[in-house]
Amino acid sequence: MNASDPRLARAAAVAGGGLVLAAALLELLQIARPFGFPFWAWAVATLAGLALLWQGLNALRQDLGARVVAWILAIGVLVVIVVPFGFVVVLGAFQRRVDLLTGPHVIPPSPTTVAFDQLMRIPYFEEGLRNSLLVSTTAAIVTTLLGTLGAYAIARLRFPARSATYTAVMIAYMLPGVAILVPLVAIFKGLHLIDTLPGMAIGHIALTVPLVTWILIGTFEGVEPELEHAARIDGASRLQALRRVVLPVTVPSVVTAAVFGFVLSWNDLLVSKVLYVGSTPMLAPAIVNLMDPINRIEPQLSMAGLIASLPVLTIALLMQRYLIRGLGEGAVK
Amino acid sequence: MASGVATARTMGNRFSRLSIRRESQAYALLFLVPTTLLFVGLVGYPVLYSLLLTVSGRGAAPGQLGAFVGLANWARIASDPIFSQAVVQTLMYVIPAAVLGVLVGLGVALVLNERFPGRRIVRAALLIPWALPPVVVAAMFQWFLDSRRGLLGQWLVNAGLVDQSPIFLGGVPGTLYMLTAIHIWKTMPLLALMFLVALQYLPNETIQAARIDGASRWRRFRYVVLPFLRPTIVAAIIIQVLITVQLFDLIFALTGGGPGRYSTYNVYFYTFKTTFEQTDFGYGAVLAYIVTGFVVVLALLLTRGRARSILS
Repeated sequence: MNASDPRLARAAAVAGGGLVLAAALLELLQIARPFGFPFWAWAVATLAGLALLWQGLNALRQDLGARVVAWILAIGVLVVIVVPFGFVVVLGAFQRRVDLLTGPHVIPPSPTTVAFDQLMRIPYFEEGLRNSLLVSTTAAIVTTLLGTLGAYAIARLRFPARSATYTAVMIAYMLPGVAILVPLVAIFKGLHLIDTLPGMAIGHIALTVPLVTWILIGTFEGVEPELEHAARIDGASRLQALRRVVLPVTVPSVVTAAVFGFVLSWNDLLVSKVLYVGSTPMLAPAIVNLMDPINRIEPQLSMAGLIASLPVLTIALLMQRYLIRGLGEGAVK
Repeated sequence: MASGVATARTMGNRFSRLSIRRESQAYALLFLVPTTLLFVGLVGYPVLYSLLLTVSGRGAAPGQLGAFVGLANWARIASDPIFSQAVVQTLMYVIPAAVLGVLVGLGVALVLNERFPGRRIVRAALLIPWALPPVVVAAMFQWFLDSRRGLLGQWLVNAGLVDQSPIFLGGVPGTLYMLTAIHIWKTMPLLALMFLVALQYLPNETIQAARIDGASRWRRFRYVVLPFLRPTIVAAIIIQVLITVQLFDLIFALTGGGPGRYSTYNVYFYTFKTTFEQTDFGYGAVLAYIVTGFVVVLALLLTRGRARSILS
């Protein structure tokens, strides 16, 4: 393409944009109600359209083509992420089961919240939801308290075996759950903690403490030591320095760490399943119970999924800036 | 609680009479006591107890130590066909998940690194797969991929790509690859976010300099961006391997290890089955040690190379 001819470039861009848009519309129509538009035509038109857009717009202004193409690709990414969740979990939760017998529906033919009422009448689900809220909140709070103290000590204080402690936290953080669960079950049986709410909470704290401590070590290492030195010279004890000086400047990171702890506990299946015998159901195993491929009731399953994902999803969207930073720094679990 | 704080305060006053180093150590002790108790009780002791389990026969009750059997449990891995199958299948999960997950994640990050309207919405959407509980992801795809009532099958038929809705979750080894695909759907956004955060630290002057020297977009990516991202890519691969080796929830919720008897087992799932369903704690502990050993070695590699490259 001749970059020096703006009219040609503009024409190419318009043609490319038109091709991409038209092909996408036709393909959407085809998927909704087939009329004989072949898939390869969509693929060819989209690729050709993107190429024209890229060349044409880049010739008009530096990087403009790249930006527009990135924008279109980002819409594709959005579709891949949002479509399964939106159509299956969100819309699926408000369908009637009989409507599903006539085939998959994208939009519920007769929207209803009956799945919610039905779900709340399933004892293990309703109880699992309550237990999970209680256990995960407790775990997040206790873990953050313990993790703050432990992480501050490892990040700031000088004591023998400090680097060994550091490595121990790291290994505990990475330790696969199955490695410690058998002895844990044995200990819990001995202490009559198995299948009780306190036992479940302790199990979940054990799950979350290493992760939260690990994140917080990084946080406290990032605080300027001079800040504390000033407070210490003014006569503050270590605990006062932590509470009055270090914590106020690290609130976002500490809250983020607590959220990571909550998410880890809320999403957990393994510990919840292994510590359960019959009286303290948790949410994740309850959802697996609803997943029987033959007898499952899809709208109920979707409603359960919606309920289970709402707390974390809400927090995630509200706190995205902090979470993204935390994830970027390697809070992987 | 209140009395605990009060105690800590009086102890604090007492501590301040000590030398700085002693005081530091005293506080370290105080701060670390709760965490240490938790670690010793809930992590350290179990790990050592598991070691005892690996050299014991079946006990009288679940979790109890049986008679000393030496290395008999360890010797079993050599002649256990399910174990070798699980190892191979673990690789069948890990390799595509690491390669495709990192490639797609990098691609998505490069796309979202361009400036265009709505970019923040897409970045926020990346948090959705991360935030969804794995069992919800499993439930969602069980229905989405269902051959009779699933939306995807219907759409593929309508698009004219297939004649009838494919059975996504039912073939061998197709089911394993479907699980891998779902796992990539769930983990790729996290990797993309990692790359996006790293890209923010890419010095703009370097890119501008390369641009002025006339480097094409591809060359700028190949010789400036890619070398800059190298440590992040290595970290992302290790993280993805670590997460995928411990893939459990999806297998448990979606296939239970089937179809057939073991076709979607990985070593981690086999460990769970051996331990908690066949209650063979000795052999289960051996398997758990193998998984743990692998994970810990990788994790050490990760923090060695990474703590400096990303966190600083």
